[in-house]
Amino acid sequence: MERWSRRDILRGAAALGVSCSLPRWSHAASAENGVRVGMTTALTGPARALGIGMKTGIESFFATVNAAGGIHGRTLELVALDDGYEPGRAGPNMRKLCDDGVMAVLGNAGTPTAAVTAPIANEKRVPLVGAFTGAGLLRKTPPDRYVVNYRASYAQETAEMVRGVVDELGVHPRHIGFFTQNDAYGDSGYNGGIAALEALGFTEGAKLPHGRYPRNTVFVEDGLSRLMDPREDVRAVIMVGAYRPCGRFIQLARANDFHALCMNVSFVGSGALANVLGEDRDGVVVTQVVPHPQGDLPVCEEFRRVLPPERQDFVALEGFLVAKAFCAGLAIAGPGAGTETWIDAMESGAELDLGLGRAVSLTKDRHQLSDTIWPTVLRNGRFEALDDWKLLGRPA
Amino acid sequence: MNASPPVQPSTDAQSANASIEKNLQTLGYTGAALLGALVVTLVAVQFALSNQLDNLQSQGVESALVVGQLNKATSSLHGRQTEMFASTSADELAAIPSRAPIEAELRAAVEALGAVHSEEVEAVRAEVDAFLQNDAALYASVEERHRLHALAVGRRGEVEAKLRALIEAAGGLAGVARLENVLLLRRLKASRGGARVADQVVYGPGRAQQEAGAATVEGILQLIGAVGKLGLTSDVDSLNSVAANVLPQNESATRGSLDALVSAFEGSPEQARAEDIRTDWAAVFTAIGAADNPNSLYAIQRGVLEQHAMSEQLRGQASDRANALQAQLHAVDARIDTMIAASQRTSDTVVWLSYGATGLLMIVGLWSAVASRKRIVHSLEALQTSNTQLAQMGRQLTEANEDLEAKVEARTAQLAAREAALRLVMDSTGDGLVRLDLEGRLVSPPTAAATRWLGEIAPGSSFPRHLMPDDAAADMMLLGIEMFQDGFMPFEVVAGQMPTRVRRGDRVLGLSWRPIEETGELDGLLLVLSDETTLVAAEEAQRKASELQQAVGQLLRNPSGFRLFLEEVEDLLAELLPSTSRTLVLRHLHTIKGNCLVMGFPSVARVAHHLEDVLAETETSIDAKGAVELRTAWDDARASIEDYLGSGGDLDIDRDDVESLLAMISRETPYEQLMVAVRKWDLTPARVVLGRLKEQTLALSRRLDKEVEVVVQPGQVRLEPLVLPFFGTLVHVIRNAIDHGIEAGDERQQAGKNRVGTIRLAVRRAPDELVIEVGDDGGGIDWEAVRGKAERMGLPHRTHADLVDALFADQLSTRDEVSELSGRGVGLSAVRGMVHDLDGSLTVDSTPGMGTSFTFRLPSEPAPQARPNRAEPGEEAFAEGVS
Repeated sequence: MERWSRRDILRGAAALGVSCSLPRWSHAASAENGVRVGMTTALTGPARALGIGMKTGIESFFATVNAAGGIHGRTLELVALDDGYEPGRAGPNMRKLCDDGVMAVLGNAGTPTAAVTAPIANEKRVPLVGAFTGAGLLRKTPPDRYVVNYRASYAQETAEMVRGVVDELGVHPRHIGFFTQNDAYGDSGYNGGIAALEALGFTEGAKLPHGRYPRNTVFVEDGLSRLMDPREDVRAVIMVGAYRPCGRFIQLARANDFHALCMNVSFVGSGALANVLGEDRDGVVVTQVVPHPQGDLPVCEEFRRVLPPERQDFVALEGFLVAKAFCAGLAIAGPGAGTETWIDAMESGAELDLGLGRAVSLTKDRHQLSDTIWPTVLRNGRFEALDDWKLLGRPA
Repeated sequence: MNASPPVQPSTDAQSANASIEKNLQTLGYTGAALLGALVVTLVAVQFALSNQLDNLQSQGVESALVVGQLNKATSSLHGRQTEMFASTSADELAAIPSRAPIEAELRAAVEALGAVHSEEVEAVRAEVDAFLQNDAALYASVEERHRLHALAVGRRGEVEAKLRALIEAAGGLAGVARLENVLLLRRLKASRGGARVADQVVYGPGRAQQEAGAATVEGILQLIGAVGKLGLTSDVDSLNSVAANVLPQNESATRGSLDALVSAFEGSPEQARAEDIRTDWAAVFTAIGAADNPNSLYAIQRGVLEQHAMSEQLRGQASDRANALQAQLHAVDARIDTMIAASQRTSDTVVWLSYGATGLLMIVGLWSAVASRKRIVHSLEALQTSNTQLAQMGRQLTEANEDLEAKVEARTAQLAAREAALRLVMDSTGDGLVRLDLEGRLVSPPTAAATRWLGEIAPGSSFPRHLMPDDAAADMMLLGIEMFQDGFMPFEVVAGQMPTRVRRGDRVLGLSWRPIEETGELDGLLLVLSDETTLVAAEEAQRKASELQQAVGQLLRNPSGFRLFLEEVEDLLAELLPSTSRTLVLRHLHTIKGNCLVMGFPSVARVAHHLEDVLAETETSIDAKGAVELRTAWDDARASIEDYLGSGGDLDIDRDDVESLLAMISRETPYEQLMVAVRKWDLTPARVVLGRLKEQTLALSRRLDKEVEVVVQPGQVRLEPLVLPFFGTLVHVIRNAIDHGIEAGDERQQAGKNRVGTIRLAVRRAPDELVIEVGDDGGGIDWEAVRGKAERMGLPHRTHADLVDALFADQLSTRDEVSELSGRGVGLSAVRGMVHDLDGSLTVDSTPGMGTSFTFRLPSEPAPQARPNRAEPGEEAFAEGVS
């Protein structure tokens, strides 16, 4: 839909009029003929690589499903709105999608936005599926009926980093520092790391050096100065932020002869981070909640068949997996399924095979499709799977 | 009644009458005049009323309608204004329906009002115009408000974003400086010479205190911003975003700074100050945004927003309700209009009706005034006449009083005469009426009929002794009368036990008892005697007629068979009556009884049964009286049917006979053989004989209450006269088969058989012999039981032949009660006796559960001596038997 003809515009206007005056009708029609799902994410702004990547993954999977005749004869359509990673825009977007009668909202990016969209999902009874965030506010116990997650939590990611650094590499916890975004996302990862340290018996976590930066800026100097403070001896940095500030942080640290091991959570967007860092920044670790796209799990092979090589990144694979999980639920729910029947099907305990090597099943008390962390490391400008932390060498 | 003194007419009365007449006339005229005036007034009132109603309809109702429309339109507009006012955005405002239709309605109502009330309409029109202007202004104002609000929100967002960017930029710049500082410190620390100073700079408390203080101030400044944001949020989403994102970050950052501050000042004189700041900050933060504090700023703001949303919703609902109410009121209005119109119509009708009624009233009034005048004059005349008549009646009454005594005497004499007449009536009913006291004594002379039938009886003598033929009967009746007296049993029950008929000479008297209860209790009996002689004779005739009807029925169904039956009975009687053999007599009596019963001569059967009873008791042979009785009964029966029998000279030939003869002729059979064949036509066809047996079988089965179907296979056989009596005895075999062979319907069904049993009667010719078969599909013969019985009876019982003999020995069934049909057990021995007489043989073939078949073989040309000597077999066998 690159160029709009006059007729398209007229038709769109007519459709808008109809959907305004007859919302119920349009809802019914979408249930009859196809399935519309929504998405509000960062399609512009510093985090746009995440939003676009998720959108690509989801649309690619939908395209293969539609090409094969849809689910129970129903084709899938994604309506994506841009919120620029701002909670103030995500809320209205979410309400608009719900009122337009989408069956679910898939793959939103971001934690501060989720703080707004999750309550709306519960209020409007439209499921929020596979949001690109590992924040705890989507992982309540028991889970919200209208929130289903794909990815492991940030806490699990930072816990894996702590485990790798302390257990595998033998670094003492007091040599660990944090660099986080000054919002709910950053807090989520930071708290996960502190909790993991406490679990190892280290109770002074709160006193560890902690640098922060404002969301949607690259003002990283203050944070870096906290970690490089001569009073501290930081050898490994747990980073919870976006790819641009994190990339700048790493470049600035290296330029100033600060060689601590830098570890990022998946949200950073590894492809984008690699692009920012260029080729000579080997050894940067990014934990992932999806397997390496070039790996040999079934879903990786399927993913590589569908997407062109230049788009085969972790984010797109996550979108792909989220779309796959949604369609699996739709298939179980049967012909003509609506929102509630879809959730009932997901919660039924039926096995969902996402191609991750083992099937997963959800219940009323479990809305988490994956708990696995796959660490990767940057080598020669590309992220490779990190099967053994020891390969990194012990940081000085 | 006393007679009043007669009124004397006087001349004064004449003149008084005249004056009354005059006065009444005056009264009548005055009344008529008043009535007229009333009517005129009424008409005037009605005319005014109807005018008023017209007025009401043409103006009042019309304007009420218009005012209603005005009201409705104004309310709609008002409701719309509320909606406008309540709208929260330009979009919502734009979504409110246009004013145009309401305005048009309003203006139309004003014009309609103008048509009725031209004077007031100008003021109303001006008012409406002002109202509409006001409305338009309100719309514009609300629209502007929304525009400004949206603008303010947008600007505020922009300003906020810019401020935040400024802070961030400044912070970033500070960060750059800080990093440079840190790098310098790192270099300093790394350098050899400056290590000590560097340590002071890097690790000394001053730097930490300074940093912590600055960080704390920054954190608190940010908190101020967050509080402002919290207060400015206009929807729950924004509030949640602030609470979930901004506040927790600020909390953790500031808490860290405060901790650093406290630890930086640890040990210094300012330590307490630093701790106070931390404590106060914690309290303030809790008051702002702690999630678990219900009184926090956050919680309150949330409550405000929720209430706001709710009140918006409620206001919308209230507006809707008001509109609905308005619509409802309008509907009520419309209904009231309809009612007014309806009542208008009703009033019109009423007015016209009252016109009519008034006119009618007027006419009636005038007419009645004239009429009453006439009547008054007339009644005055009548008064005079009746005065005269009264005087006359007074005189007549005095005379009548004098006659009264003489009349009473005459009446008494009349009553006595009527009593005598009644008695005459009673005498002439034909019934004898006898009144008895409770001792059975005659109270008063019986009526004439009773005296005629019974002779003179003195009152006071015991009536039953006079009435009944012997003392025993009289005693019984007296006992009955005693029971009447006891009153222990109901009257009807005792009366029912009394004899109903008594024979006096040739006359049969019917007796019927009635209670006499003059004092409320039984104090006498009325015995009604009636002559029933002719009635009894008629009953007898009726019985005979029905018997005859039955017999004629049999005759018509099977004439040949019936004739055979008659001949058989004649033969049996001829043998029986002179015989002295008790066994033979019993056997023949039994056969006669059974055959007569099924052939429709119950009277003969009754006599035979009676004789059987007598024989059973006396153990002697039949006496002369019995013989005569039987002969007479039979002759009577026979005589009754004789007329229907005809000559008896007919040949019984059917189509088969003729066809076989024709076949013989066509085969050119020799004449001699044809003669033999035709001669045989004189013989009785087996079809006829078996047909009669079938009738008897069916009659027997009905009596024994068994369902039986009879299959007859007579072949083309004709029977010699000699063997015919044998078929008569077969009825015993059949009776046994039905009574003891065929099981009850239910039992048969359980055994898997047809409910209906089958009896097969067959006759066929074998070389030199006639074969007769009687078969049933019943339960078969229980040979073991036969053996047991035979043993008990002292009969031979070793071989099968012995058992067959025992079966045919004179036997008595196991029944206790002897009936007309079966049970005496003489039957089968009669059969055996007959077979023996005819030089025949018999075989029994019985399969348990499947049935029994008796086969009799009689020689085709029986020995000439076969018929006569019917020796009595098994004289000793009058004992209990089995079958």
